[in-house]
Amino acid sequence: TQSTWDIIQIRMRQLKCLVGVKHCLDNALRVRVDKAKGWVDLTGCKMSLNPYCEIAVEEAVRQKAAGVFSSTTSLTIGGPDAVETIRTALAMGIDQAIHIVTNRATDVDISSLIVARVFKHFIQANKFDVALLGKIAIDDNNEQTSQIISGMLGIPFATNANKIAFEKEGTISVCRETDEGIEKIQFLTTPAIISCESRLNVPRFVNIMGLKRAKSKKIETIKLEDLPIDHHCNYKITSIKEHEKKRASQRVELSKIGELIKEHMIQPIFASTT
Amino acid sequence: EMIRAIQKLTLKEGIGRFIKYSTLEIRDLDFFKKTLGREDAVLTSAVDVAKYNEEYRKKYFGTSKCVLKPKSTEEVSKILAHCNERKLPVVPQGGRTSMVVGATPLLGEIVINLERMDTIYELSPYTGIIKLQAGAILENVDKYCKDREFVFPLDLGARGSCQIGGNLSTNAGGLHYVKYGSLHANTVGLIAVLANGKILDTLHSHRKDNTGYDLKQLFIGGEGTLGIITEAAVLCYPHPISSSLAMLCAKSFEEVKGILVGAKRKFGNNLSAIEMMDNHCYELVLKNIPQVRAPFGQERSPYYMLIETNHNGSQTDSNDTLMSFIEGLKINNAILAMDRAQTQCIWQIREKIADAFEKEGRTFKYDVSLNVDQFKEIVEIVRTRVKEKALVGGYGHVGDGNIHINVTPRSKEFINEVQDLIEPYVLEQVGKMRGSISAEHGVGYAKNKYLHLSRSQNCINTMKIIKQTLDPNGIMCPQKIFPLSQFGYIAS
Repeated sequence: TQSTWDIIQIRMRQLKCLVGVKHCLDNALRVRVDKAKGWVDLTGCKMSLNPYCEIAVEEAVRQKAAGVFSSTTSLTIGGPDAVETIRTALAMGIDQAIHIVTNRATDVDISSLIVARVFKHFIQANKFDVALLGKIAIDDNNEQTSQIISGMLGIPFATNANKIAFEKEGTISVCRETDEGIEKIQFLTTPAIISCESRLNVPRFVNIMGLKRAKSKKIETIKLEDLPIDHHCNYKITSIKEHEKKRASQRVELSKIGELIKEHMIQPIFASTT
Repeated sequence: EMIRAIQKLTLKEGIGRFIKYSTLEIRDLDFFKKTLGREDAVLTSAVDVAKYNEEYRKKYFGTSKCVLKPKSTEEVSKILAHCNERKLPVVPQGGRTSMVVGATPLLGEIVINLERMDTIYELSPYTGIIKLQAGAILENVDKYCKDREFVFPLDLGARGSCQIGGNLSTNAGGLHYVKYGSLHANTVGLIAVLANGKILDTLHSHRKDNTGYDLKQLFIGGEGTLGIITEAAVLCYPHPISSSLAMLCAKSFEEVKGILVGAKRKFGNNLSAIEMMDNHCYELVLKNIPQVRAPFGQERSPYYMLIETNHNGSQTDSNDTLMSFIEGLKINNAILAMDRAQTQCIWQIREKIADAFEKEGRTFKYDVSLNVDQFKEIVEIVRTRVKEKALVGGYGHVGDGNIHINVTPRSKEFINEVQDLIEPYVLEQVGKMRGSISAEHGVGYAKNKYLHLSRSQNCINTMKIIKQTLDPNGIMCPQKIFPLSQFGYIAS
């Protein structure tokens, strides 16, 4: 039997949060594919925090302020220049950071499987209760990391969260955005993984006090090769090229549509298979 | 008798002209169609011409019946020669973003729009001098320069529609004036077509050229009244390697002044923008512009400033330098933009102030140059004058000594009352303080009655002599800069 005090402790236990932070191409920049190389060359391009990760960071900081989280830690896989983005997350209010250093390109050479393995390692090793990730990274657009982690660990997950509530009984309610409407999910156990949608919150600007404090916060640096996980990518991207230029649209009079269909042999959308 | 009365009026100071304009005829349209060669370069139907008659704030409407869209300097020259001979008034037009009704054909003038002349010829990597046609849109020019790692010395909110010809003819100021200076300084040469069709070619790529009078300076800021600028060569600067933008709260105007002095001293040429706004502007922007997010949450402050600096090192170094400067000022409420999206978001707060006021109602805008000490004074004067009948906000390029004052009556009943209170009172006060009644927007039609408040009579008379010499028939932009009463006018 547990005494009343133990029960209160369990119910009021604050959760440990892990936040995914990705260092990628600045969202406002246009991506250029080098036609000669068949590749996107990111050297010299301005990089910043993935906007969906920024939303996850904001959520973590708010929940820490509300007393739900006891501590927040960010996890980043990237080169040495990813420190800029890690400092942004620390300046927004994250307590400490883990930086997995690698010289491989994080947009093409580190697959979601590898990222998921890294997250799995830390969730198990450091006993995190909640992992908050952005739903998608704006460079590789894979949108699958949080799902893979939950599969590996066998823990509950919810994607596209636009509202997260931490109930007093220890359950977590998440509202998910789907094509058919808002779906409400309740997690009864931790650890759990939630990936964040753009309507979850509006991230704060970094202010001068935050930047000052960030300088003294701890960043634990570990090489990717030193982790006890399989870090080989099981596929290789051979080339990248831009979309072909779309044909310009034309304005047509209603009476001429029949001719246009015949001329361009436009197939109707729902065609029979015979 | 009427003619004699007008003659007496115009010749009061011994300077004035009596002008009789002709009306547009079919033979003129035939000539234009033949010269321009294309049917769609001459617009005459009401539907086509409507767009070119619009004014930025929809307060005035042009009545032009003919819009010409030439493709080259020679075509402009032939058109103007013909119009001069036939005494047909014209107005050169660009993106129609003038803040002083400078491009609206209020007397039914022929519109000569340079939108087809948008070629950018070249940008020399050694000198940074870009050669282009005057119809190029500022945003496209900016992109062209950025691709080659240069930056055009002008940037303003209307960049998506304004054309270089319009920028040059109004000597537009912009956001980075404090770093790059004016277009008078940065324009190396230009091609202008006079009213009689003669082409003045001062287009070359040499920054230093002291050969006689610098004629191009007449056309820069000339607002199209002396000739049409068709091509230009402008000096561009190497693109800054990294830049940082911060927004901070200042508790008093004394603090604003201190920050201004400190920033100029610390950053020197690396200070690329320094702007100020008061809390009335800040609140209105947060209230009326939906996509803006509040940088300081619920807190409010009497003044806000934006500081943008450049650095030749990494982004982190740039951010650290700016942050250490702000820490040194003992300001504890400041935010830093960490990526491009946040930079644009913070700039929106400054660039959308005018729109925010317009959403509250009809806005009277003043753009004046004063000593920095007088900024607070002029806003207080206006506020005391209108009392509670109107919203008053002061904001602007504090680094250039240029402040904008917006006055919006709180409800429609007050509009006429407020207008009587402030016009011409505000500009008279500015004149008394020996400021400029139009720092960067120009004179156009909206301020043509107030030129004497900032310019001495001798200056104005000399300007009129130049105008009459270069444009004896008065066909270029009638009513702009000089009201018609100063040049007699009768339409046939």
